[in-house]
Amino acid sequence: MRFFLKVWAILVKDMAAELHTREMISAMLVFSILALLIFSFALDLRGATARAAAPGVLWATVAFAGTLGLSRSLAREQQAGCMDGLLLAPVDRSAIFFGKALGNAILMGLVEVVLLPLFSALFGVPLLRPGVLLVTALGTLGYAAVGTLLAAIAVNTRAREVMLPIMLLPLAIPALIASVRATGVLVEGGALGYAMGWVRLLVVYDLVIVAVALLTFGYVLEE
Amino acid sequence: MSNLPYLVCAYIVFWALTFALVFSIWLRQRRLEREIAALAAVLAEESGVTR
Amino acid sequence: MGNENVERVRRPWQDASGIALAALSGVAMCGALGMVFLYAPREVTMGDVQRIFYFHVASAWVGFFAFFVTFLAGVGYLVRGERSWDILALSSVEIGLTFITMTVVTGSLWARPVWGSYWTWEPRLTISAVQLLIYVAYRMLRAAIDSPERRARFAAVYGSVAFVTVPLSWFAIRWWRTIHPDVLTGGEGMTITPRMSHTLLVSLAAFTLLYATLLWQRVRLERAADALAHLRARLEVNRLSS
Repeated sequence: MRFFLKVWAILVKDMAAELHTREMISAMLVFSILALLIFSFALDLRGATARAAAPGVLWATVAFAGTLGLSRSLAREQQAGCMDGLLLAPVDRSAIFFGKALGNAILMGLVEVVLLPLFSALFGVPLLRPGVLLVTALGTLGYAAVGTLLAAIAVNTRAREVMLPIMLLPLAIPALIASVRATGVLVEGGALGYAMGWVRLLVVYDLVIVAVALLTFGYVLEE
Repeated sequence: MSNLPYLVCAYIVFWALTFALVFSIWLRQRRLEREIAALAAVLAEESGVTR
Repeated sequence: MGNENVERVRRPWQDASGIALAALSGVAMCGALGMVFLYAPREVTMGDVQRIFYFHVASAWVGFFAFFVTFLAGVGYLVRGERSWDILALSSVEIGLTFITMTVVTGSLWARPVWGSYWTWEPRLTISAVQLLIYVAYRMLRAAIDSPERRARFAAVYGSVAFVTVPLSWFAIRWWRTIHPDVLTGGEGMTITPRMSHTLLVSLAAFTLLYATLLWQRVRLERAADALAHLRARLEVNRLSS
């Protein structure tokens, strides 16, 4: 129980900080819309092409916007000296991980709350179905989990903003492929059962990532 | 038969990359040897001075 | 303490195990090469170009195995904290990167004449490309950290997470490709005879020996570099105290 309270405390702290400035979420949103525009122009997304490309464009956008939020989330900790404070406090390393990862996931989720209806309207794809929402949640959680772990590493390197995407994207491939494919199937009218294989892969991915993160996060934070 | 250039190219790639790696390791080993020799000389000089 | 390592690199001809390994892999390589070109049959559908297959698969195997070694070495470092584990990890990455590059390039060279384009998103080739990118990211990560202790630790963590995602990526890519198979590629299109299996096995063995040889040399190099740095530090201390 105390564990969840610690996680909650860290989560609330992060969310409060973000709500105060709203700098990250606005940056992520603006970036996402710009990315959407670029994709639309670059791939000439209209009509049937748009519908087919929608899941892919959505997740590419989410992935890139996600890296923005992830690196800023941990950079901010470092700048304000919060990380040292957190480490001095008697908090379990895994609680820190869960708190930050959930915070990052929620931030991405907030961006998706805007993007999903936007994409639905623009591309003419029914993205607001429960199946799609489940897939989106699972994919976002996995991406945020692995992203939080890697961002904690990247923030301690020389070229931190550049290192995160380079490290993260190859590792996010299972989640990205699964999310895009599952969304595609569901959007074409297939039932959730059809997309089950992909959902299962997403769940396995999320579990594996969280397990590895729990085992290794302590090593990243130790000084 | 007209595909032989690809076969040849591929095997050139195998050998070229292998030898590039071997050569790279060898070069670094040589540089290290030179530095060790230099260091040994310096050490000998300094122990000669302090005697 | 470090002097033996320094001396070992100065006298390579005294490195018995290194020479033995090199000789063994040399013989194995010649054997494999001979089998590829003289013993293995000419493939029915693809012709002689198919002979790329043996070394291509062998290098893919080594590329993945080297990654596995890096993973184990990383875990070893996190658990033990000893530099020797880190040396093993970084050495394996360097060798593995070379082999996985071979895999991707030769795979591409094989794809062009057989399937018409240099890249077909074939699952095995794609996962090799993914591994290549991870290797590169690993190297860039190491290069971007100044403190040796941190470098070892972070690299170990990244290596572990990265390795664990590879099987998942493999499944994802494979399912993606089976649902949307290329009309051109379809399947492998290759009929495998016993002679081809023999040749493949020998190639795998030869490449594994080659990997071991190169890994050993790279580890030696790193150990000697460490010893040199240590000697330099001692020299500094001597100078400061005299």
